Amino acid sequence: MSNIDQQTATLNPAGAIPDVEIYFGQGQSGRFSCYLQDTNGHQALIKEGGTAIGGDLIGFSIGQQPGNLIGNYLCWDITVVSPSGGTNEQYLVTISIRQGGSPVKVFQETGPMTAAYQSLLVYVRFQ
Amino acid sequence: MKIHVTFALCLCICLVPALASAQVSTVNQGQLDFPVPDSPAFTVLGVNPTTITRPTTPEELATSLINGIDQNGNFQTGIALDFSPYMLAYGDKVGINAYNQGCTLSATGVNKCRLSMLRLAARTQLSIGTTKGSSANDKSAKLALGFHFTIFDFGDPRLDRGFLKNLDDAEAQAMKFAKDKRVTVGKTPFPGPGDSTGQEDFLNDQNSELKKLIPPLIDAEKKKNWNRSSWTIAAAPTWSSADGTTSGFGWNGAGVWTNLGYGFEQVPGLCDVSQVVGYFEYRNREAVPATTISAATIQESVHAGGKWILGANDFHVSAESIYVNTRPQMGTSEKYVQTTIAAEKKIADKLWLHIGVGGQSGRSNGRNQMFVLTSFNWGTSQEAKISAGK
Repeated sequence: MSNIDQQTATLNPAGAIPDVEIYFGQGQSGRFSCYLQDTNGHQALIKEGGTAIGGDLIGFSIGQQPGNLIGNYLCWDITVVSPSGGTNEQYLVTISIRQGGSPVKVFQETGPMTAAYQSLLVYVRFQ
Repeated sequence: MKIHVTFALCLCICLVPALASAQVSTVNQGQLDFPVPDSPAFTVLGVNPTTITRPTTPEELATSLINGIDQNGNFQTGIALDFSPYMLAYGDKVGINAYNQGCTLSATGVNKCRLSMLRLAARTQLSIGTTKGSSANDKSAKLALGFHFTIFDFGDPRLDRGFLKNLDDAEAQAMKFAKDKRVTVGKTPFPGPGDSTGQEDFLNDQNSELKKLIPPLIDAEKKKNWNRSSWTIAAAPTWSSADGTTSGFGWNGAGVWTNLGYGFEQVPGLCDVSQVVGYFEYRNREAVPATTISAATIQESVHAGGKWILGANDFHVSAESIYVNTRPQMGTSEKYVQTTIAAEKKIADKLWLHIGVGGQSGRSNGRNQMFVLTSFNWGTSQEAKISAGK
């Protein structure tokens, strides 16, 4: 899989404020920063964290009404590090976007660790 | 420096007569590794595959197995598979915090962990190997299954929360570096979704920083954990078929290995510098290749040994003893104990002085000679010889 991924998520404009969960599997250390980019290209940091402090599953709210998010991008900078060096190991990052507890979009970034570290850029466009 | 060199020369002069009657030419031959093979199926078959398939999904595993068997159910070519069945099936559900549950720091500041079924399952490796006859007349085939269990390993870097926090800090630093570089030239911290050049530059910047920060942390962690307690067991049953057909497979012996290391985790002073290792190996119907003085045969063998290592930065001592019992179908059985004590001292940068003394007893030929070994390592590529027995 490429280290740059583009996804789309269809929101219910009348639904609840969306929230997000990010999960790091395959026993790897992970860190992320998540930005919201509006239709004018302005970016705001929503959340950053990692498995060393936040746990394997980290959830947070996007904090904006869904109607205001259409056309915006959720931009993820993700790093995965293998504490043992990565030889013959896999990485897995699962991102789920939910509204009112129901999943709107769930996708996975997965593949072999080609080094002790892996960087990923992920864009999710709200529609 | 001058005193060290004088000391080395004196030792050299004193030991020259002993060297003349030495049975073994270097100290290094007296230092045992006590290895438990990572892929015991290949070890027991006596092969070292150039390509080992490591399936990462159940589908890849199925494809590998199907490709290795012809339409009649017989093995086509040499199969070399190695994987963790649990991680293959459930690795997606194993986060690092679930993996390292039950670990705390001991009074000496090193990890102390309860036994964990999750860690045992995650670190259990299965290897599958096959070989076929190498000539048109030889249609035989051999099959081995290898199981490698890590019962516990206090040196597992995933259990060290302090190390994981250091990795996290390094990741945060690399992310900040890439973003700051963009911000300082008036760009947004994150490349936009349509900015493919900016994305590539961003990933390159972040990866170059990760490359600078992460490997040194991992190397330092490996060095720090050299003597941590661990217990590994490996077993590999084998089968052979004279005509190469699957239905013709019958029992062809097995190998069993285990290595138990103790790192004095709760003993201040020794916890960073010492390790005791016990080792046992049993091989049944082990193939012994022909030599200039003996024909090829098969044998049963037992190796059992122990080793103690004391290792400060510039001074290492090891004492080791191994019992060897080999019973070939053709030829003479042997049963003996070999004991070696070795020491090494770093007397300058990349200059280690080594000395060892050892002996064998119980050889069937009746020779029970003591031997004295010395060797000096000079030069830029020389390193310490005594290492952990893992």
